[in-house]
Amino acid sequence: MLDWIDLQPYTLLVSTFLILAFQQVINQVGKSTIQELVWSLYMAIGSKLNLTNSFKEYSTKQIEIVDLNKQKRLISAQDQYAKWTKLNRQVDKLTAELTQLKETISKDKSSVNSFVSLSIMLITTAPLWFFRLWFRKSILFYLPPQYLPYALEWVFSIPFFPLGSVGLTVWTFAVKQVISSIIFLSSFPFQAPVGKPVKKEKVEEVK
Amino acid sequence: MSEVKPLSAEEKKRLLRERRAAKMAGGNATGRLNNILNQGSSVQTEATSVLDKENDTTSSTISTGVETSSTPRSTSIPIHHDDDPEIQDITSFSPTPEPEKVLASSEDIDAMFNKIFSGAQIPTGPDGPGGEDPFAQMLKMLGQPNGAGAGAGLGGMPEDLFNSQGNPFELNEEENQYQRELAAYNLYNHKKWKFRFLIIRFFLIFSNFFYHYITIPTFKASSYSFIRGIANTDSSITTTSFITYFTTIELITIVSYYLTSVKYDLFKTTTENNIFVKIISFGSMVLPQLEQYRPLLVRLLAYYELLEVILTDLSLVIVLFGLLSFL
Repeated sequence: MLDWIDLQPYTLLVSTFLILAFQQVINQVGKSTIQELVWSLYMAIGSKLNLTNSFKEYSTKQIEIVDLNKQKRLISAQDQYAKWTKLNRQVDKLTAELTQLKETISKDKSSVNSFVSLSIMLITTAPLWFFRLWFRKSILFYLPPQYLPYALEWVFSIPFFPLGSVGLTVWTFAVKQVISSIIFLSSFPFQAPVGKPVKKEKVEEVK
Repeated sequence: MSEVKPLSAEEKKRLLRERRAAKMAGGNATGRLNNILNQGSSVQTEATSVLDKENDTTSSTISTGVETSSTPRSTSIPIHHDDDPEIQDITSFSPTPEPEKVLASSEDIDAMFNKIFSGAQIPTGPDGPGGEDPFAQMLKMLGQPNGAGAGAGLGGMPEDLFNSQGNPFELNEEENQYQRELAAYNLYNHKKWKFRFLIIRFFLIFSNFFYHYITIPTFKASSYSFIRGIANTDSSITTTSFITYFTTIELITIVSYYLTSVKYDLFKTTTENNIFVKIISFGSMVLPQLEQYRPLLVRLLAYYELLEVILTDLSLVIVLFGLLSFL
């Protein structure tokens, strides 16, 4: 039934590498940044794909409210009381509608955020846990003999693999270390340099 | 029978006045006054009635000789003794507490509640209203010269953070700014050296690995176990060369990194922000003996950073072997 899950060791190795790389990149970028990005995308594309009309309605109503307020300012509340009241009522109605739309949009945003969180979890964390459970006894690869000392080969075969082989535990650790180093190497040059601060000496008053 | 008419208020007043006047006319006013004043009182007074002071016509105040708290302060005694006082001011006789005292006691209660719930509203010394939160007080305890945090500064904080009195809370903004900038600079400096060494290490390990990978046909990992049975029969190939070069690279880079770190005090930034060092700082408030383990922990953390260098390099070797194990 689950034959399709019987991955080749190299496929498993590369999949783990890619998942861990993706996870590290997400950690580096930040989940909140990704959520904001997806929300902006949803706002831009959502209306066009008819996923939601809230943004379109919201912007239309906002324009209307600005227009009505402009008209209200142009007339005198004392001289044209009836017209002014009518406009005021329209503004009140639109404001209430806008508030309702705002609530709908914030609900949309929270659902988008939860969707993003769930997606990240499904892409990065869940497969790793599945691999650890399903392929806990799988050997990913064998090291060439004689080139590494016994002690190293023993360490690489932790926790219970045959000598000279590497399992998922060591592979995951190694990939994490290397990818975080690569991310550091690629991000540090873009960091703004910090100069050495100069301490201002206190000048004592000479009496 | 003739009906007895009830006396009117005016008549009652008149009768009382006449009776009082008759008593006064009988003389011995001072004796009667002292008799009244000494009844049930431990205070013996030698008062003289105004009626007996013939010369003193202007003063109408009773001198009792001893000032007591029950002496009316604002009661006006009429000059004409047979008249009732116009205003009967009895408020000063009432045992109600004075408003100042009530206010003071309510303030005390407020202060007590503030002390209990916030602990930040009560003036605590010459600095005026104290803004010392519990965290600040803990830090102060750490900073005490003979206390738990004696010697090594405040939880790894530099000694120059303290002012001349050893109080870190009187630092001026300029000093704080300098310390922040210095911490940022130290962190950047640490990263900079780490970056330089990482580039060198990665370059050397890549070179070492790919040199052996290209030149030695058996220097390959595999997904299949047969690779473990293939022995190197070529006598011209030294199987230990890879690990020899690797160890040499590690030794050189680690020693260089250690010396550089000591020279530029790079380990300081690692240890300052470490959770275990912070735990020791706070734990030493309860258990001062913990403070003696701080240097040991700082040293161990420095060694851990060196160990991390080796682990990262070994990880790179593993990853390279793994990614090239598609045979």
